[in-house]
Parts: sequence; structure tokens; C-alpha cells
Amino acid sequence: MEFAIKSKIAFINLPNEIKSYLVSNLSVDYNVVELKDIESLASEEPTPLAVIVGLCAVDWPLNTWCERVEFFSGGAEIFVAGETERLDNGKKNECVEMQKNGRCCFIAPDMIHKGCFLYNLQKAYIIRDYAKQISLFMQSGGGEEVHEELEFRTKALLREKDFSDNIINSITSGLMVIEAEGNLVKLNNEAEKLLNVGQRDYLAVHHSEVFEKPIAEVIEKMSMQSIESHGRSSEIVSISENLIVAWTCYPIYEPGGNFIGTMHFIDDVTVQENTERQLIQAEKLATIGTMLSGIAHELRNPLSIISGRSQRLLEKRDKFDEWTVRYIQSIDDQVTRCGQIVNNLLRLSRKEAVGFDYNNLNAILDEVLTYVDYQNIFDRITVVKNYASDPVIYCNRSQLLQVFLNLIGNAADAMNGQGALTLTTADFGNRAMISVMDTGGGIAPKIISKIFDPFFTTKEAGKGTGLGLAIVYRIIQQHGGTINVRSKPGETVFDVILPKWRRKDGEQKNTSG
Amino acid sequence: MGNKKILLVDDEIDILDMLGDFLSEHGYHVDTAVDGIDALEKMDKTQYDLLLSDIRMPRMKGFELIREARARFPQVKSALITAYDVNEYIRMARDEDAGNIITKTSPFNFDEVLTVVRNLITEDIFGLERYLRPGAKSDFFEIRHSNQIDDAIKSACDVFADPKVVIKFKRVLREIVTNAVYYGSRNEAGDKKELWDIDVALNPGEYVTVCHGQDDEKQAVSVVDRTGRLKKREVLFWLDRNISRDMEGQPISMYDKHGRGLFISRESIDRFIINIKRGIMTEIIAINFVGELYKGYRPLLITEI
Repeated sequence: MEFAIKSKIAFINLPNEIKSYLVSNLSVDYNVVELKDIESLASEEPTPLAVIVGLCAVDWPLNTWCERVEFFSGGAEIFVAGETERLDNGKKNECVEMQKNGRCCFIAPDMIHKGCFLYNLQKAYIIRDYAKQISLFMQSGGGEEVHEELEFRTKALLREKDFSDNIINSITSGLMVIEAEGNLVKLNNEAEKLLNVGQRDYLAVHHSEVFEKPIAEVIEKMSMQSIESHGRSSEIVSISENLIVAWTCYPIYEPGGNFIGTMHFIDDVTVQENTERQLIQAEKLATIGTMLSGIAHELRNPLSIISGRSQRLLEKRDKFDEWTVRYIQSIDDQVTRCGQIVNNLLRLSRKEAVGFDYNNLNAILDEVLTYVDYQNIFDRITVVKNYASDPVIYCNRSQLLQVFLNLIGNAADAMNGQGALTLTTADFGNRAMISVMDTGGGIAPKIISKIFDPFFTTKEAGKGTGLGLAIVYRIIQQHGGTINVRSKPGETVFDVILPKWRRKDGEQKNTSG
Repeated sequence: MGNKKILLVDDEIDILDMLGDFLSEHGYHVDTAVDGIDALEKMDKTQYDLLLSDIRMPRMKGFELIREARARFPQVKSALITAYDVNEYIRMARDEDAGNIITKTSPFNFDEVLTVVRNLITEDIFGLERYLRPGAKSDFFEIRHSNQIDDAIKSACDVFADPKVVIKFKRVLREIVTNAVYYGSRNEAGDKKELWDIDVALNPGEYVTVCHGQDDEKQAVSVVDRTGRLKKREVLFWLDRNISRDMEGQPISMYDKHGRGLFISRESIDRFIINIKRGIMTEIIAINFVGELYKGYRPLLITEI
């Protein structure tokens, strides 16, 4: 059924090329009229659905002008076409303000040509359009059946809109639609959650004004890529400290082929990525372990020979002059040091599933505390224990002692000997967790992902080989557990999660290194 | 009497030179060979008191060599030396009944080599002072009743200043002393711990002595029982069972109800030394080195005469 009456759109003071474009595109569905000024709106019958005004016809202050237009047009939607870039800052701010409040909508000329404007117009107003047409028709005395038909159609349309909104909000990915100009058109609930925005903040606002730099940059980049390739662009990006997402972008074209915007799908993959990273880390260590083991073995013989020689020379130090003895002593010291390094290296790659047994975690931590108790650095450190009652797990006691000795030692170093060390144990059914927290300066965000790498160390040359945490990581991995770290200045926490039970069928075997 | 003769075998010439030099200085006559075949030829021509061989050599491995040597020259004592992981060889050690495998470390433990050489050649193996530097302090406690076990352990450990060391030794001693009192002296069966008569008085011939001592390089404790029931074969068997892995990488002893004591003790301490004179005496010594000295792979030091 065709409507004889079309909605009206009024043009006021539009530049010629915009006018002709709009006229040719809009007059199919709308009744387009050209008026000479705002006041003429009052004499229009029926009042227009929307009024598109050239920027030159706008009066300042803007809100007053909008009021006038609304008054004369009987509440029409106000669009202002023109290049707002050339306005001074005060006026620009007013434009942004009015747009944010929904009083009027600014369209840049090139946007009009891209068809975004039309798309917006049609999408936003199609329902209002129908509703208005119904009332107009009623006023002109239409029949009952027509009235029912109209009502039916409106309801159907509204249902459709609700339905698609439901679909959009039900999909588990975050969905975001951005028009060509860069203004946000639609975000579903998941997207709002992931990107941390509320609806009030973003509708019809440019993405660079809604989002912080990292996300805005991702949007730019992904949009560009998808536009250039005329297709999908996909990447895994980290958009904040603890959020890694899979970001996919598609360009949107209208039937005519014009580019009108981009569609973005965002999925939270933080957990998978972290698991992958841990796996990769483990592989890295395994490879390095094998390599180093080979080298270390080869070194043992020569080192023991050098050391033996220097020791024997020192046994006879009376035969030599002071200078010679000093030199030999130095060789002896250094080769002993080499021996220690080789021992540490071999520990990294040692296959050790021996020594597994059921142990009480609290007892292990207490034992570590007795070891460190006598160290000076612990004199002014307060130890706080939040122990769960007797978490007993299947583990290699001596290895876990090594793990916590390392973590607690690091904690003490981080606090420079003063602060609080909090040890927490917890029981989670199949797993147990031990947390070591210190009140030290924290680990900088840019290095936190590297701390488990072998040889990464923040200690000065000569103090610590950087192998400690790599060994810790390896041991936890061999137990089938995980270790995570969270840090901010004043609080760093290492969480170690371990399975409680011995796994059946050799599942808890060592992975060779 | 003449000098005792030692045959050193290693494909690494520097080791031969260094060790040979050292042992000569301590009064031994030392010959060297670069591999097993060479060594056996030399043994054909000269009667040696001790064969000391590296394990990893081309042509003939150390274990093969000592098997051949024992077959052909049964009166020659033997010991092995290696830079590699002794635990990897535990199965072979068990199979060949090889109780002494010394490790090459940096720093090199010359004292240990000398002690092993002396013990094997002279068969004079007992006494904690053997492992301590001259002038070291030592003392002992005699257990005559099972209710003295705790006191004995305390008296041995509390002399040590370092609490970390005390804890280590206590853990090891608890295992060894209990074994000595119940297995050794009382001959209780290991798998029926729940039936043990906990409270026992020992007969004079069964007293268990717990000794301790230290020098600037180490702390040491020892437990001596005078029944000598422990067998070298048994020790090697239980160690192998706990160290060697099955197809899935689990220790074979995974589901054993007992038999881990020796293994755990050995893993807990720097040196775990067992000296046995069958039917006469068993001495188990635990040593902790100060400042991580001689760290590396643990040697195997089990001597039975």
C-alpha cells in the first residue's frame, strides 16, 4: 500500500551542490521544500520532519538559535550542514555541546556525499516517520482497515527493531558500528563493557573523543586496513593492562557501493592468550634447558681441571711470590664461580619428578621462613600469615622449598629490608593457592611479562644470575600448576596455584627439558 | 710393604696428570691409561691395588671396564669418577654392584678422592674423623634405649650454628637413627612399621652411636650400629628404585609403601656416605658443605668390606 503523503524535509540556505545532491536523493521518499529563512517554517503545513540548514544561516549563541528553530518548526530534527572546522574554538565547543545534547546534528559536506547522512536519517527516522504518517492519515480521515493496517505495520516494525536490538545484544562478541566519518553509531552491551563506555557517552560522537588513545588508535588502524582491503581485518590487541581482545573489522557498504562505515567485533581472549603465553614460555624454557644442559655438561670436565690445578697451586703457595699467588687465587675464585653458574644451569634442565609426596603447604612456607629468619635483610620485615587450615598437596617438597625461598627472597629485596610480607594459602577443592605479597616498589608494567625469562634480571651485574624465577616457573610447571604476578607500586603479589592430587596414569610426569 | 699401586683411567689427559700428580704426592704409585682396553693390558702386566676410572670414554665405558677387571683381577678394588649426573648411572651401579662413583666438580674435591682411595685400599673405612680436616672438633652420643633417640639427635645437631643446617641434619638423622635402632639393632622388618615395638632397650652389643663434627669447610654427623645388617646391594637397589624412571617418567617406587628413607636422606644432604662391614658394623655419614662448596651432582659413596 502506498502512502500518498510523504514526510517533509525543509532546506534553508544550503550551498548549491549539497542542495542538489540532497534533493535528488531525498525527493524519492520525502517531500523536499526550500525555505528562505527560519521564520518561514511556521507557515509550513504539515510541519517538517527535519530541517537542514546551511552553517552560514546559523545564529549564535547556538542553543538560543536551536530553540527558535524548534519553535518555528514544531519540533523538527535540526541538521546543520557545513564545515565547522573554520569556526573559532568557542563556537566549536558550542557545536559539540549541542550535538551531545541531541539538540542538533552537524554534518560535514563530505559526509553527506558518502551517504552516511542519508543512512542515518533513514535509519533513525523511519519509525518516527511511520508514526507521523499514521497520525496525518488519521487526521485526513482514513478508514478503519487502513488504520488497523498501519498500526499493525508499526508494531511489526517496532518488533523488528527490538528483535534486531536483542540479537545485537545477545551475541557474545562486542559489536560496534562506526560510520565513515568516525562517529559511533551503535555499541552492544558486550562492547560497552569491554570498552568501558556508557551509552550517554558515545552516541554520534567521534571515536577519538570517546576512547583513550590505545583504543582510538586500534579503531583507526583496523578501519583503515579493512577499508583498504575491502574486507575483513583481524588482529589480537591489548587494549588495557589486563585485557587482550581479538579485534575484527569489516567495512560496510550501502547497496549503491558507497562506503558508509565500519563494523567491529571484539572478543575478550585474555585467558587464552595468557595460557598461550605460558605454554610458549614453557617451550622456550624446555628448549633453552636442553641446549644449556648440553653446554653445561661439556663444561664440567674442563672446569674441574682448571679448578683442580689452581687448588693444587695454592696448596704450594709458599713456593711462589705474592703476585703469583694473587693471580692464582683469582683464577681459583673465578672458576669456582663458573662452577656455580654451571650448577644453576643444570638445575634448569634437570628432569625431576622424583621426590613427590604429600606435603603440608603451610609447613613448607614455615620451613622457608626458618631459613630466612636469620638473614639480616629480614630483621625489619613483618611477616603476616593468612593460612588456610592444612592444605596438603602432592608435590616435590624440596623443589617447592626452592620456589618459595626464591619468591620470599625476591620480596625481601624488593622491600629493601623493610615492609610487610604476607603469605596466604588457600584451598580450592582440587587446587591450592599460595600467594606471596610484598609492599615493595612494584614491577614496572613493561618488564612484568619478562620476569620469568631465563637471564632476565633487574639486579646489578654479579648479583643474581636471573635464573631464579625461570627455575621457579619450571618447577611450578612440572607440578602441573601455574604462577601469576600482579604488581603496582606498594603491592606485588605472586600467586602460585597447584593441583592437590597426584594425577592418574602418569599425567603428572616431568616434561623433559 | 711398598707403595700401593693405583691405575687411573680417563680419556682426558689433564685429569690423569692432575690426579696422578696429587695421588703420587700422597705416597701412591700411579699409572695411567687413556681407555679401558689400554687399562686392561696394563693390569695384565702389573698388579694394582685400585682401579679408578672415568665412566664416559670411547671404546669402553667405565662400568664395562670394572666388570672386566673384577672378573679377571678380583683382588683389585675399583671406583668410578665422572663429571656427569651420577643418578643417571644408578641402574648400572646397581647392576655392577659399583658403590663408589666420585664426581668432578669445580672446586675439585681432592680430599674426597683421597678418602675414597684410602678407604678402598686399606679397608680401614670407619670413623667420622676421616672426613674432617685435622684438628676438627667432634663428639658422640651413645644410644642405649630407644627413648634416647631424640636426645641423641639433638645433641648432634644443636652444636651447629646455622639453623638451616640443623634442620637438614635433623631430618636425615631422624631417618637414619630410627633405622639403626630398629632395623639395624632390632632387625625389625621395614614394611611392618605399625607392628614395631617402639620402646626398646638395646643390648650392649647393639648400642647405636651418633657422632658429630665440623671443620671450616663442612659439618658432619654419623650414625653407627654394630650389627652390620645393611647390605650394599640393598642400598643400591632402593636408591635405584627411587631414582630410575619407568616409561612414563615416574620413579619406579611411586606406589611403594616404604623404602624411600635412604633416597630422601641422600637427596637432602650434600654427601651421604655408607660404610659397611658385613655382620660387624654399619656407619652412615651425612655431610653438609659450608657455602655451597663442591655443589653439583652428588657422588655415590658406598663401601662394603
